[in-house]
Amino acid sequence: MLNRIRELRARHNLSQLELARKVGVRRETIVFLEKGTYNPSLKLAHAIALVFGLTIEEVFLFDEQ
Amino acid sequence: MRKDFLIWMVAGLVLITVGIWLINSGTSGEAGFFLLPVVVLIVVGFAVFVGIRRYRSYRINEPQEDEYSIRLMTRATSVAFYLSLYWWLVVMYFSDQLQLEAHSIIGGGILGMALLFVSSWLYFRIKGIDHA
Repeated sequence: MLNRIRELRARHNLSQLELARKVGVRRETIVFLEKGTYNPSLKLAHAIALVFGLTIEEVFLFDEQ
Repeated sequence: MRKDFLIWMVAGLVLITVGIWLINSGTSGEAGFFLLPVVVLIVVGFAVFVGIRRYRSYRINEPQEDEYSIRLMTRATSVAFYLSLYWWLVVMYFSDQLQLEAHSIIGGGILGMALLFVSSWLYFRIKGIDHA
């Protein structure tokens, strides 16, 4: 699953630590999300989408394959 | 902080217990004598590493555990458990072949399990939980 977290974070001028604090996770979780090596829970995906004022589908891009 | 205290306490107890055992067991002539402290150091080193990470998180006011770290730990534990079943079979096979004593068999089994856990934790951390 791809995501736009890095791009959206830059657009909102947020550091990884700031985003992590807003959604209540460790900074390394944001690092692994951005690297694409971790798929978040629905709850975390929802929290991240809320921070950026978008829907989950706009932040996380599901690969059909 | 209570969990941090437990991690440090267990790491300390393992070191002290192994130290006492090495001094009193009279196994200094055995082949595995020098290997054992190395393996124990790896295991205790891992506990210290986890403890430092948690303390650092505590200091910068971020959660010491979150869904990623819990999932990583769960995945590493389950894989380590599965592999350790085979590890015990290997230990049993060699205990028959090499006529090992009971303490060597149990010690080898426990240390192997600990090493398998550390290895699987590192593997999933590097490779990623969802893509390994």
